[in-house]
Amino acid sequence: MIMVLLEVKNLSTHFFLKESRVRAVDDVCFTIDQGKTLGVAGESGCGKTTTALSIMRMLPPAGKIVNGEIFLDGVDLLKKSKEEMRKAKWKELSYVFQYAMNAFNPVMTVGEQIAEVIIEKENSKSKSGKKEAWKKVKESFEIVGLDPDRIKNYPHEFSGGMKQRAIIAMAMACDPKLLIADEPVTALDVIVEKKILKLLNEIQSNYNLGIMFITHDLSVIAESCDDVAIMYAGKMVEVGDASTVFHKGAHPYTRMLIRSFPSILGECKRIEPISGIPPDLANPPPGCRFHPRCPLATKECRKDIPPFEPFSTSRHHVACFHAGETIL
Amino acid sequence: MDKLSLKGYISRRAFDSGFLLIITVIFNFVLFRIMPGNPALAVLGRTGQVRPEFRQVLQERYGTNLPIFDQFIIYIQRLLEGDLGVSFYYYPTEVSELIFGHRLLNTILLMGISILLSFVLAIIFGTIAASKFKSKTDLVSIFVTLTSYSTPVFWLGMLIIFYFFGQFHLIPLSGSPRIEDPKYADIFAWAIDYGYHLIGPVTTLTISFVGAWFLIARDQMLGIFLEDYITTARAKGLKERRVLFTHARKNAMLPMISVLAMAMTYLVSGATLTETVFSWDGLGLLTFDAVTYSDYPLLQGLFLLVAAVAIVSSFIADIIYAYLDPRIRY
Ligand SMILES: Nc1ncnc2c1ncn2[C@@H]1O[C@H](COP(=O)(O)OP(=O)(O)OP(=O)(O)O)[C@@H](O)[C@H]1O
Ligand code: SF4
Ligand SMILES: [Mg+2]
Repeated sequence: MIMVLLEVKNLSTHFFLKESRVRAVDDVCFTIDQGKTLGVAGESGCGKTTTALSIMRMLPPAGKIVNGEIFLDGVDLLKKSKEEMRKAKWKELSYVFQYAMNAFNPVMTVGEQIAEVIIEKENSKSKSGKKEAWKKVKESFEIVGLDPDRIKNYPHEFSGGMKQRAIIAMAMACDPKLLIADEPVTALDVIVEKKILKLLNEIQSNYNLGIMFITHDLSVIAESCDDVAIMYAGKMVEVGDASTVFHKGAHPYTRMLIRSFPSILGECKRIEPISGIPPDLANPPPGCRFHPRCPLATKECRKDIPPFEPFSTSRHHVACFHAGETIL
Repeated sequence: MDKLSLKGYISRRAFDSGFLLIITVIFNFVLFRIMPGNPALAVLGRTGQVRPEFRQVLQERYGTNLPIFDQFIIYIQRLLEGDLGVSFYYYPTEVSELIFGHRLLNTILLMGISILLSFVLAIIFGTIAASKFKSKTDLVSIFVTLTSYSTPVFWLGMLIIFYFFGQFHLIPLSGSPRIEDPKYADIFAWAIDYGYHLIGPVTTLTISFVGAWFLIARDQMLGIFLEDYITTARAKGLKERRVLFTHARKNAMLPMISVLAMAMTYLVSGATLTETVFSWDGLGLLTFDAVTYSDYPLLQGLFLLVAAVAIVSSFIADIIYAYLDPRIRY
């Protein structure tokens, strides 16, 4: 039986600025199953990072979670005290930051930085505990295909690719249930991004690890994610398993997004960029946030917010009044 | 760490420092030859009378009757023998005797304790303030340290004397107890009284040093808090103490090492104003005397000492830097 690992329910995270309130994440729902990978995609600024940071409860000071629940293995992370959350971090869920190249402290060895978190989480300050931790550091290096003799190296002695592997080794060090990877490399580097995801997939099966992989390149997700979530302007517009979303995508934005990436479905179609720009999240348009750019928009769309509902199967959710209708 | 390249780095820095030291010595010689007024006359003017043996001494020791280049050779020879010349004002006391005696000890103790205390306090306060950026704690500490930083040090010293000595009788008025003083039964009795006399000037200096260094430390920390590795350290759910005092501080320490290296010159130059207010018999006070009485040899000796300490401490700082930051190997 498939068990749900992460369940995000009606999450709303807003940034409270001096003169405005940016609705960066608004009423978002999705789940990640144990041992599965959810790919989250959407244009820049649609709220992917904010969603991830909300789960980690590491929002910048202006950001506040105004509504929602986030269950990890049945426990609401938002109900945890600060100290409980600190203890859960890395042991239950770990995080690879967007463009994580500088994730390592330059004045500490890579191994030291992995060992410290094992020591902290296993509460093993004793001599034997520390030894055990260093043994695990070596193992984690092996898992990601790094030479274990290099654990005493400093970050600047690693190449870019090695650093990426080391970051994953660190993320896996305490055997978490969930790993959130927010665009680990710059958007331009799609090939590297695919490699990282591949490496993660290899590790995943042995550790029953759930992964939330964020990118704004759909083609990265297409190859190796079980499920896909499409975000637009702070809203979840479509969630479902990968083949459903890619082949029977029902939301106009999903379909237009897929069409704007040439090679996803194999055939080489004409690239069709989506015209228009995403809305200002301090002042989102009323009704469906996509209506100013949507070819199917009707009066209803401009007035009411489309509910996020099951569409073809119970696992496939879409937020659109005209879901599945043909775009001319 | 690559030991070989570290060795190369150190020897290169040692060579640079040696070179700098030679330049300093030359400069120190030239500077005092081109100064206005004839040093001999300066002495004679003060003593009022020409003492024949004095002219004799000047010629003998400085070769004042010889060409300038020969004077330089004599100067270097004497320097290598550890001879800094004779003080004009304290004639016939040797300059080296004046500098390397109880005064040096007094100044090193006073400055050393003050610098160390201020440094530690500045780092702790700076870290805490930065971690509570823009909070009340942060704003209050900025206000307090800016005030202490901009308070004239002699006035601060007088305030401390007025309150701590005058009102509360917590500290002695002034002075620096000498171990030779027969009133001390043993070294412990002296040490206790000495420490007692240190409180006033140390407090004064610490307050004024902390002000400047706190702001530097806080600034360093603020910059570092924005770094990715700090965010990662937080995401790892490490204890906040570890994030601050291991991850952040290690990086913030680097620039603080330079601050400390520069402060090392105070260690021997002393703090003239504070030493004056508290009649602390140190090198700061001696420098003041040397300037007042145009005591060129003495000034020359003091300058040389300060310059040498500056060069040596920046050399040491560079080595510490290289150890702390694995990326530094030019
Ligand atoms: N610290 C902040 N203060 C104010 N607004 C913010 C802040 N961080 C993000 N936002 C706003 O929240 C919205 C979502 O940002 P977020 O970083 O989550 O987008 P993203 O999908 O991760 O984009 P990208 O693909 O560029 O990383 C954006 O409109 C952004 O302007
Ligand atoms: S609800 Fe209307 S505007 Fe929004 S995506 Fe569907 S059709 Fe377009
Ligand atoms: Mg982002």
